[in-house]
Amino acid sequence: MKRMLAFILTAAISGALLTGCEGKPAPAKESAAPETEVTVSETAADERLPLTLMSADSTNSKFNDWITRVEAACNLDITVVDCPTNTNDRQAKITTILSSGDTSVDIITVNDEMYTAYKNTGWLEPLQDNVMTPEILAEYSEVYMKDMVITPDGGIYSVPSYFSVLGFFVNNEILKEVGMESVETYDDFINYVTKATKDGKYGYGGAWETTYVFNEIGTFVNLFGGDYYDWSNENTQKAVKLLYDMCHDMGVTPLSQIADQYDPLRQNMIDKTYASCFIYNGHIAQMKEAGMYGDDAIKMVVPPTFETCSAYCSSWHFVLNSASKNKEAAMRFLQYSTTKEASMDYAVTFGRSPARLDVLMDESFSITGIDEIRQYIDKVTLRGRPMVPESMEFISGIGSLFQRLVTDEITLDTFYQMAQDETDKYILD
Amino acid sequence: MEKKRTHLWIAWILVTPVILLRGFTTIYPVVTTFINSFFDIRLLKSPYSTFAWLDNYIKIFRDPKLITSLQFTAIFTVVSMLFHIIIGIALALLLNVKFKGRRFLRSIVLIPWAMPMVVVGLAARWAFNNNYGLINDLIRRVISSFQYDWLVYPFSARISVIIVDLWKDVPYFAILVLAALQFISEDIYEAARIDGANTIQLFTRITVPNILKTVLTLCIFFTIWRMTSFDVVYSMTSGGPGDSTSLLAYRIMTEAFTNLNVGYASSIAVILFLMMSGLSCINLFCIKKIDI
Repeated sequence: MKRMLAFILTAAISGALLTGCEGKPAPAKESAAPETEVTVSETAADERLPLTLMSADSTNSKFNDWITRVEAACNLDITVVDCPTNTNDRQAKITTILSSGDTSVDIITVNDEMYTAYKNTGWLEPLQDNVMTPEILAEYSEVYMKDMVITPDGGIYSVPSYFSVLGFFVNNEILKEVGMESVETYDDFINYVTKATKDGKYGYGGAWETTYVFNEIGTFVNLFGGDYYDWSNENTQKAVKLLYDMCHDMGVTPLSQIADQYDPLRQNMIDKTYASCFIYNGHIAQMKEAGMYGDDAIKMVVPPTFETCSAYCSSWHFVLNSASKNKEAAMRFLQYSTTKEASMDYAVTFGRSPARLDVLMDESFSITGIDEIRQYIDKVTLRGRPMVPESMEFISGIGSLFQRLVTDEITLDTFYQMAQDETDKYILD
Repeated sequence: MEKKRTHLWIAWILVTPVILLRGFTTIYPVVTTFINSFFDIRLLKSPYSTFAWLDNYIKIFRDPKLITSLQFTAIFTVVSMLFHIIIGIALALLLNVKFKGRRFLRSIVLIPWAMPMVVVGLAARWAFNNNYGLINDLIRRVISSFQYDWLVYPFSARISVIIVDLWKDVPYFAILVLAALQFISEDIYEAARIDGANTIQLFTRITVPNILKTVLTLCIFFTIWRMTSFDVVYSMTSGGPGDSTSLLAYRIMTEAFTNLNVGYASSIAVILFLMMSGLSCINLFCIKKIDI
């Protein structure tokens, strides 16, 4: 009896253990070329196909409605997987899925940093032949696609889902109070931020958290006409010195922002704690909701011209997992995403600027902040952000060094040297 | 004899699945980590790994960020443990005193320990904020003009992390020391008082020797937990400002899962393992000495 019981228990435990084991998934393909060409056939379009989407938009209240419309348009049955909201967690999760050849997710939304990291790894399906054909490609920002998306061998591995600009925001009410009409030059900028700093308020605010500050450093480097990869460049050094001086000698921006990401920065703008900042145009909608966006309040304006008048543009992308078992469905989704209708629908649903330029510049199309974006496309030199494959490591590395600089742990000269050493690790390696 | 062999055989059959599971979830990852530490595995650079011998280990001692992490891990462990022992024993002695409400106090003192560290870390991030924080609000009731951003400066950020760690775990240490105190008979104290011992002599000659073994044993676990702390830094400071509050475990997570330098992360993990083993051996040696 005891022996029988022992056998039954052992078998039960072993069975329970083994049911949790799956076969090792096939490793991600190394070559960029697909084994078979996937096209959406007319007959297959009648068949409802399953697709799994991991999206950073899934927490938006209008997301489910958008998914329903996409399912109807593409004849797909879409299962949505939530994406972590924390930058590091998100990167870790998506990287684990793609690098392990996990087939559970087909389409993933990634940002520029992740796209740059993944595009040369073989983890993403190339799309230049079936989705981002030359005719479709022509509808997107040439500068952005060249800087960020297209690989040196002409590969395209994503469909940008929206277009974003790191714009210059000014509080027009404060601008009037200090007796100015606009901020157009370097002198205007210094004048404005100095005069606007008083009574616990600051003329300029930033998001100086380790993984965010590189956007701002790069923006100022571009404004001075410097080179983000060359820290011995005089103009690059001018940009960093200005940021340091704004925090220390000039006192026009607070040190406490080294813990801030964009949400506290936006809130400080709304609270009038800051008189100006660089932040993505996507935040216009929240500022409007707070009743603080408009000609008499906060407005996104053309950045001042230091040596150049430039700004970063960026996007999030739909990418296809090369290990996906539902490539036909994925291609339907991606091809649909490149259409004018899809671009409009996405932009209106999520309050973002459309990725397609023809939609963006269409006078009949209107969403919050569209006029400002059109102004930027017209008057400002837009550039993709400088990225290397080990994007997060590089971004955090420079960000950490900058934090050490502004907390006076290191001097400016030491910062330049260490930043160059850090950059050379990724550029020269 | 036959019956004994049968029982043993049955016992092995029942235990084997658990041993296999434990082996798969513990021994296999440890061995793999050790092997990976000798390879250059950078997933964002190349899908292939190359044999690097001791290059990853040499890199540890040349990497300024790692050296900062090692320094802060050492400081964090030593300072936190020191205060764990001092405050923990003091709290245990207080909880051992007979007074009304003692039971209630013993219950509520464990509340911080019961809270998840991630929740504590996120709350602490706001608590140490200059404008909205609880800490500065309390200080301003005494010094009204007090202004200080605790998490902006490396030195104060480190102190803040240590304070939060102490706030959360000292009660647990104290409760365990209290359990050891309960075993000391009141008769010994009575006899010592009759012999003319004062409070300090009672503490040093009776209390400390009787709880020393327990405290040293606890030190092994609490030291290992301090050295492998990750969640307090992850939720409270993200290793910043700069890298000043980046502990080794946090650095391992960053290298392995954010930067995808699996080989390098594995070598850091091996170093941490060796450090923990070394400290544990020293502790066990001290315990053996007490037994002798």
